[in-house]
Amino acid sequence: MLHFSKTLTFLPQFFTGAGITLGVSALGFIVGTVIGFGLLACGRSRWRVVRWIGALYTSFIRGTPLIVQIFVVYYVLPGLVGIDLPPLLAGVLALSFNSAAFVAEILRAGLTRIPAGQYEAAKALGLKPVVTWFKIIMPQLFRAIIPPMVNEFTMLVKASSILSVIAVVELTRTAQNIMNVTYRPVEAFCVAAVLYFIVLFSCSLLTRHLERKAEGARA
Amino acid sequence: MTFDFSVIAGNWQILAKGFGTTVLMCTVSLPLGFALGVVLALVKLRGWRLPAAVVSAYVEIFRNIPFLIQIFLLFYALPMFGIRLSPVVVSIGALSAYASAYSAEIIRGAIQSISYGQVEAGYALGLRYLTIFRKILIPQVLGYILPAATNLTITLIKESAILSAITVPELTYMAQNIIGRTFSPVEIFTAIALLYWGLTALVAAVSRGLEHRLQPHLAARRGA
Repeated sequence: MLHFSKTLTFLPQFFTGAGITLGVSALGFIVGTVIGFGLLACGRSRWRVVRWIGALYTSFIRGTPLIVQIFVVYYVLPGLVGIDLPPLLAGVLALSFNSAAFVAEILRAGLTRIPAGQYEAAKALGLKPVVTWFKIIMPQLFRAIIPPMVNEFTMLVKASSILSVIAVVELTRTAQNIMNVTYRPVEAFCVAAVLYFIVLFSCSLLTRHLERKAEGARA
Repeated sequence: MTFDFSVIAGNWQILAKGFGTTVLMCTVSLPLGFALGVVLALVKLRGWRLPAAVVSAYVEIFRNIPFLIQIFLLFYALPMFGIRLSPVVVSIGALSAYASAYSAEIIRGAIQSISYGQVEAGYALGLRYLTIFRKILIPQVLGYILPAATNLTITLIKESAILSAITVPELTYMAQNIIGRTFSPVEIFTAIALLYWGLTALVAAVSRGLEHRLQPHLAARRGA
């Protein structure tokens, strides 16, 4: 039934595809984290309009499918801004816009775990707000958000397979291309599935390990 | 750049049909997946070594392979075994399997979160088993499951958009079809984004309402 010999000769291409998958996910994660901090700032803004825009953005991203967001970035954004985006750039942008909403939620949840007494103590010690934020709040925030952030990266790797619809040649698109050469779709997608599973399962084991460690530290 | 409403107005029936298919597929596969999830969770909790390992493998496979790859495998593998089904039926199967893996973990967590001491305490107070089940266990399990199940429902609605890749006539596929004819991505993608957004917001609102009814004591404490 299944004949892997032909498909497996393309193994180097599969590995390249997996590398691109990890690359676009990492880029999307980094840019998304930067935008996520911006969204967090929006949520804590003193102006209601800014808070409202941040909330609307988050709600939109969480309430619509990623594939629609990708199409919007790839087909709609160029029309509005007047520049054509190459698929790879559009894909990374779409992933960034998407993850930003989820990262902002992670940051918000992480901040609620820091007791108000810390801010008060810093103020009582005469520390400036900038010093308080970078020397006291940030280090604690980073420790709290590591497990959910690893989880968010995992979700992004999984979601990046959808970029194949706008012809970003990551792992899923690579499998499709190889299927078109070998006429062996099931074998090609099986190889891709195994590669995805290795990456994603390792990530989720890491998340679980970090969560357990964080739990132990709190107890 | 102008926004041409007539494209949406002229094609609303096609969009409505796609929207209907999306809603139908999700409403059928959610209970199916959930029922299978209950069985999987119970098998895992029962603790027979081999069945529990099989369930764990099933759950991890569905959770750690992208849904797009799952549906491509199903779409191309079934004909190899001589099974020819309509894309909608294949989709419902894929969505159900996906939902079952996630709901198995949700249900297992819910059941494990209740200590057996509560049942014993109920007996000690002279309650009958049915009363304990109805008044003590169910409200807590539901309180745990409801938020997670809402998230899963919303995830499922969003994942169903990927089925457009195997030509299932759901909302996203219909939108792509219309755009192929009218070359108006701005209007149509805006329209379907709003439809998805409205649908997921509705699910979230219904869930919040249910949560208040199931656990009025908690809702009161939250000041809602």
